[in-house]
This record gives sequence, C-alpha cells and structure tokens, in this order.
Amino acid sequence: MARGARPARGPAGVLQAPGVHRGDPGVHRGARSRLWGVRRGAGSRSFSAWSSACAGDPRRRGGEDMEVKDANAALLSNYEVFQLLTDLKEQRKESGKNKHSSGQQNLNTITYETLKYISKTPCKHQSPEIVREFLTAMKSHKLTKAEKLQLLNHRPVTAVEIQLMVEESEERLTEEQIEALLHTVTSILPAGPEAEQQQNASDDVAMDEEDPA
Amino acid sequence: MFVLVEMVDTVRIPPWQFERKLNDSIDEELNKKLANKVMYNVGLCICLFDITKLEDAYVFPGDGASHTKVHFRYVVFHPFLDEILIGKIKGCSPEGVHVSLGFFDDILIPPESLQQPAKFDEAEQVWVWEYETEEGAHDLYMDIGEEVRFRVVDESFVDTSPTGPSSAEAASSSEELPKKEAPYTLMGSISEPGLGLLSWWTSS
Repeated sequence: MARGARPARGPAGVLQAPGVHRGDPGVHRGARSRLWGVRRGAGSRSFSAWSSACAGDPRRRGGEDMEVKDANAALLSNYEVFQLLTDLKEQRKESGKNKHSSGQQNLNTITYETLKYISKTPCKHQSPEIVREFLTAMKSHKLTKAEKLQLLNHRPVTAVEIQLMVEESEERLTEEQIEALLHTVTSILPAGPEAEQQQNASDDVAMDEEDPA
Repeated sequence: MFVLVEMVDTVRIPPWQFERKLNDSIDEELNKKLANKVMYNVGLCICLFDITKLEDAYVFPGDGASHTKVHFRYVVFHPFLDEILIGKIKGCSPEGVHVSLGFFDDILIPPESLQQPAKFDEAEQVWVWEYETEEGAHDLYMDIGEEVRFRVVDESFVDTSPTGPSSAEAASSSEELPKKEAPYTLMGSISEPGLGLLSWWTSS
C-alpha cells in the first residue's frame, strides 16, 4: 500500500491498530473490520500487539486519555445550571427505565443535591429575559463579570452585601451609587423563597407572582 | 460557582447498546464516568452540558465495542477565589467550622478566619463569636444547621488516584492509609462585616 496519506499502514501496518496510533485518527474512516478478516494469519499477532500497545507506553495511546482543553471556558450563573438540571430531570423522567442502574446513581445524587441547593436561592425564579434585563441595567455601573455574576446569584439587599461582592466598593462607588445599584438589583431580580416575607416591609412593587400571605 | 469545562475523551460503547442513538449512549457514558466526581485541578463535575464534536467511531480487534472520540463541555463546580457563597454549618471542631453546600461538603473555615474574637466552647463543641458592644459581650453561637455566608479564600486539590506497587513497602509499614483525604477542599473566611451567620446581619 503506497498511499502516502496513511502513514500508519506500511509493511508492519498490521501490528499497529488504527486509532491507537498517535497521529491523525481521522485518516481512517469508520470501522475497518473487514481488513482484519483479510489478514487471517496475522490475526493473533495483531491482537497481542494491540493489547501491548494499549498497556504499554502511554505516549502511544493517542486519543485514549481524557484531556481538558479549557478548564475555564465559561462562567455559568446558578440560574443556567438550575435550568439545565431541571431539563435533564424531565428528560430522564420521560425515558424512565434506566434511572436506577448503579451507573446512574452518581448523576441522580448530584442533580438532586444541586437542585435542592439552588432551589433555596433567588435564582429559582429568574428567567432568560430577567437575566438579560439585569445585565443591560448593569452596564452603566461598570462592574467586572465576576461581580455581576455574584450579584445575579445572590441578589443582595443591603449595602454591606454589596461591599462584600464588589471589590474596593468604597473607592469605586459612592453611597448614592450603592443605593442605585441595590435598587436595580432588587427591582429587576425576583426575590427568593424566604426573602418574600422580608419583602413585605419594603415598598418595592414585588416581581414575584406568589402572594406571601 | 459553576464553570463550563471543555474536554476531550474517548467513549467506549459496548455492542449491546448499538441500537440506541449514539448521542444518548455517549451522554450516559460521560455522565456515568464524571458526574459527582472530582477531577484533579478542575473541580467537582456536575453534569454534561453539551457535545460539541463527535469524531469517527472505531472498532478495534479483540474488542467488539466502538470507541468514539468526543469533544464536550461539562458543568463543573469550581468557585473562583474571593467568591461569596452561602452554606450550612455541618459541625464544629477544634480545626474550625465545617460548612456544607449539600452537594459539596469539604469546606473548612479555620479558626483564624472566624470573626474575632472567637473561642471554641468545649462543652457544646461549637465555635462562638464574642461580640463586644457597649452593653457587654454577646456570645454568638455557630450552631449546626445555620446558614452562613463565607468567602472562598483557598482551594486545594489532592491526587487520590491509587499508587502503584512500587510504594507497597511504604504502605505495608502502616496498617492502612492513615486517613481518607478529600480530593477537593475549600478554605473559607468569615472575618469581614457581612460574613458569618445570616441571622447576624439581617436588619430587624
């Protein structure tokens, strides 16, 4: 086989299993099981070569190790994770049968606990429109991405909380600005489950639909 | 609190699952492998976000299963430094206050990062903030089950993968591994105004 585009194939090609070889696995298209049938006599050799290739030098194991391409590709708000987990739960409920297999137990545990945690925060009542409105309103305050994310996740109602989340807030924000920021946050973001009782005292027109009797 | 991590991995689908849609099988396999597990230097993996690319699937000699290289994004719990989080007190010990988020338990607030002055009440095994006002000292107890707001000041990853046979001599000298280390721990601090039990700071 003199096709230059396939470096793994050569006189000793049968001993190197495709895909295990470092290099471009895309060179091989699809399962080549029929080729192995052709080389009958070499069958046993190729098997042992493959298993030794796998068990041996990790450098030769090409695409078989898990690799992290970017450990910080994007920050997610609690609302986005809440949405994702709720959708996942719905999907799994519909497909029914294999939820309880031992392999799925970890996923069940982590989704249940994380959902439980986020449901107790104000993020539960948010929506994509609210988040968009919030971020547009935040543009004028000149905060960093991390600060805006914390405000979105926690919905602070007091000045002391703002000071915790915004770095060097005494230097960057005056008292009126902090008040304005608080007002934006509390008016755009809906209150959390426990904060509803505390909201009664304030004169903000409540965004939440539930009636806290 | 949560970040998206882009990863690449080879997923093995056994032949008896070939009738299922490949995407569903891969989703399940990835979640089975990563959900609720801590990845070294990455964080606690929660669930799969999406699959960005599927490369060709190969069948290797001697193994009937298909192997597919998958590029995907995973939701990982990995708070950034100085992030404010709210958790529940799980317990107190002389090492500090242990806080839990429900899905993540290994958060410690060491004694020096508590609101000062603080003392450990041996009888009740609880940390106390001795808050001074003009009236006198109030003892504010940090009881179990209370919600606290804290700042993440440090994180540490421990590689808990099993050691090879070469260290067997060292391991056999001690009966068992001394203690099970948590693969991912966070250090918190509540020494600023606004931090600590939520009940301390709600205006009444």
